[in-house]
Amino acid sequence: MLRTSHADGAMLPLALAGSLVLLLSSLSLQGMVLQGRHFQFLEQRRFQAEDRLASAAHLLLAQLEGPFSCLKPLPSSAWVRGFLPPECPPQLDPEPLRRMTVDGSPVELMRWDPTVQVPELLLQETGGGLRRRFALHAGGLQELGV
Amino acid sequence: MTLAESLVAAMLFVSAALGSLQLWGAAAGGAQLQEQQQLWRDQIERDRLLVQQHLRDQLSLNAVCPNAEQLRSVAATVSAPVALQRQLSVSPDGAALLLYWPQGQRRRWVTSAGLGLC
Repeated sequence: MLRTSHADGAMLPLALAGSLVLLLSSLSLQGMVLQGRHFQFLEQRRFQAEDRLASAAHLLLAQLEGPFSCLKPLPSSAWVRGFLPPECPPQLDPEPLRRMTVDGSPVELMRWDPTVQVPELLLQETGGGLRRRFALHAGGLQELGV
Repeated sequence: MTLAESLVAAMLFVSAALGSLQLWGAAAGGAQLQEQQQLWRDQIERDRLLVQQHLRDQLSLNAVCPNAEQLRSVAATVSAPVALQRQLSVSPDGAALLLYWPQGQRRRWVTSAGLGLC
C-alpha cells in the first residue's frame, strides 16, 4: 500500500519533467536554426556588398577608358582639378570617379595606382564599410581581397 | 493514483509533445530554406564566373571595345542552371551590362573595360 502511494505521487512530476525535456530540446534546436539564419543573412549582405564593389570597379574602369581616359595613366592621388594633364578637357572634374553610387549605395575610390606592374584599384563602401582591392590584368579585373 | 492526477499528467505531456512537434517542424522548414539558399548562392557564383569567362573567350579578339548590347547578346547564349533565373539588362548609357539573379538578390554590373576587352 505504501509503495503504491509513492508511485501515485510520481506521475505528475514525471510528466512535468518529460514535457520540460521535450520543450527545451525543441527550443534549443529552433535557436540553432535562428542562429544559422542570422549567419546566412550576414553572409548575404557581404555578398551584396562585394557585388557593389566589383560593379564599381567595372564601372570605374569603363570611365577610365571613356570620358576620363586622360586620368588612366595617373595615380588617383594626382587627380587634382586644375592640375590635370594638358590632354584632359579644361573643365574635367575627377570627383565623380572618387565618389560613385552603385545600386543606390555610395562607394569611394581609395586608390588607383597604374604605376605598379599590375595596376591596382582599392574601393570601399562609404562609412567604413567593406573594402576590396582589385588588380587589372590583361584578362580583366581580378579581386585581390582586402 | 487518482483519475484526476492521471488526466492532468497526460494532458501536460500531450500538450508539450504537440508544442515540441510544432517547433521541430518549424526548425526543419527553416533548415531546408537555408539549404536552398546556400545552393542558390553556390549556383549564382558558378554562373557568374561562367558568364564572365564566356564573355572574355568570345569577345577578346574584337578590335574595339564591345558595347554592353554586344555583351548582353553573348551572355544570353550561356544557359543558366536549371531553376536558377538570370536576367540581363543594359545600362541607360549603354556602357554596362547588369547580371541579376532574383533568387539570391544578387546584382553585378560588368563592362568591357573591366573584363579586359578594351
